[in-house]
Amino acid sequence: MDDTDLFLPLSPATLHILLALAGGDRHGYGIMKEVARQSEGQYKLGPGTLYDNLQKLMDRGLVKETSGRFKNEDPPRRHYQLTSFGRRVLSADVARLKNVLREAKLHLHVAGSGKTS
Amino acid sequence: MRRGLYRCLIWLHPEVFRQRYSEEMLWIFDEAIGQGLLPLFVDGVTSLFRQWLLRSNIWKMAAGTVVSTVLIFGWWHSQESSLAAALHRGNPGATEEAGRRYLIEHGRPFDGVFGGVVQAAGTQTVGTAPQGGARIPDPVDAIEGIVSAFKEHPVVMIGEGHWLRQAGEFYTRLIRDPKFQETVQDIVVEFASRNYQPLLDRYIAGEDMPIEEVRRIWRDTTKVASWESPVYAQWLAAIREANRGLKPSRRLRVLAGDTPVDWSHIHSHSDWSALGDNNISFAEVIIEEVLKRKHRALVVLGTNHVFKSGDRDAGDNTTTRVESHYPGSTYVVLLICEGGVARAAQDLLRLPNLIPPALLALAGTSSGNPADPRELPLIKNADALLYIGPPASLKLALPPVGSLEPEYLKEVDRRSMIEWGELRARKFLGAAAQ
Repeated sequence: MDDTDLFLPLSPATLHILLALAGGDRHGYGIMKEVARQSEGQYKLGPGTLYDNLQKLMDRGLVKETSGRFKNEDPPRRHYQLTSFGRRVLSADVARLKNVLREAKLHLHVAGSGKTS
Repeated sequence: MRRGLYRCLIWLHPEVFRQRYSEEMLWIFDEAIGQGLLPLFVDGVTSLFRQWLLRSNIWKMAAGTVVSTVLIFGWWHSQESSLAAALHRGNPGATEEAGRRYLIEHGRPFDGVFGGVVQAAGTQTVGTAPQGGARIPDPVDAIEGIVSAFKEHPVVMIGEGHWLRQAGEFYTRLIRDPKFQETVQDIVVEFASRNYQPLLDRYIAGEDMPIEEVRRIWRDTTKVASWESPVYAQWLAAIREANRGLKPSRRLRVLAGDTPVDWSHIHSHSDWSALGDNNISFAEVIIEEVLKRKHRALVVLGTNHVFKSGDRDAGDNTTTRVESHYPGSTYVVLLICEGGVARAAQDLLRLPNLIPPALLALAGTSSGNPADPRELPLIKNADALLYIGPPASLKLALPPVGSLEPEYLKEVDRRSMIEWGELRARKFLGAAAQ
């Protein structure tokens, strides 16, 4: 078993947070906005859910805090970064979702054909 | 008003979560309030329940209380039922004996109220009682577990696999923990030699120093180029940063543990060998600077220095040397990383509730697989195991390309030839040495 399998499937919140960080380091509010953007407003994270998930992801080595608060922000904010292991876990879950999607398309297509024929 | 309510909601969260995230949560509240108040409060209340019921250990305490109560009632009922059973059998001798026991244990004569009814419960309780005394280690949060170990032992030693990125991240989290900062005065490290203690003190105290000077701390040790992984420099920087927020009397001191060395006077392997066993130096620092001063210290050394039963060549190591002067002073934690410790701990790695970072206390367990070539069980070599992630996921943090100047690499080559008779450091330094 690949070591990434231990973390799959990712919960929706985890998946969205990792996806938001895949594009670059972000602070907490930046992650929330990016999640809302990526899901076209369908999935919204509250701060409590966000930081609970970030703590778990840091404990598991999927995300890390960048090595210092950004000094040009007032007040300085913590920024979070996807680790290379986190990126591998995300890629593994995306691959899993691709399979789900392929199966779904196949079965929905067959079911649809049955109805129309 | 609304902000005040939300601040109260955050304030009700467990301390660790609150200290880490309250400021950021309040900031997000300010930023996101325009998008609707209700979702923020619903999230805040959900978070409150989640942190107290799922993330803190309060549910374990509640479950423990319920189980203990059931066991106590079961035991009590079994006492009553033994008398009831004797009465039921009509055995006068047994009845008399059971009645005497009941009188002695309860201070009142048996009144027959529970007769027969509780016997099944009593039997069931006996059947589920622990057998043989061996238990499975119960993972606890590693930071809480390590801080807790200091209640009984002034020295907690982590035996590490060197250069592991996740280990460095854990050490940083550990020293940033307020309870750790309240508990511990010193951190003894392998990656600095004692002659650089004044330099180390100045750096950790926050003094501005050129990097050329600072890196002598981890470069000029008895072990050639062994601390070039950024893990160690970053950890020192994190300690320095943490100290900025602490009162002078509470600041953490980093103690250089390695044998003093001046490489400008080392020209041959016999010069280098004369430096001796660095376990002697580590033990001296722990005894003189920590135990004699009644301090508490976290010690981070390679695994072989901290095995409770001595090093892998059956010689004294740091732990046995310290224990011979201060018995019971040390608590040894082995980091589970690839190699002997991971192999020995493979059964424990399958525990379903193992979430990193976790500490697995071994006392009273049957964790007995060999962890070293002398076929000694884990329990004879450690008090606990530290789990920071699946061993295969732990990655080496190599020195970045460009971090080693040509002049220094020339000196590394000279030292390599002295220590090993070959350019071995060039191999383990990776691309940075090419």
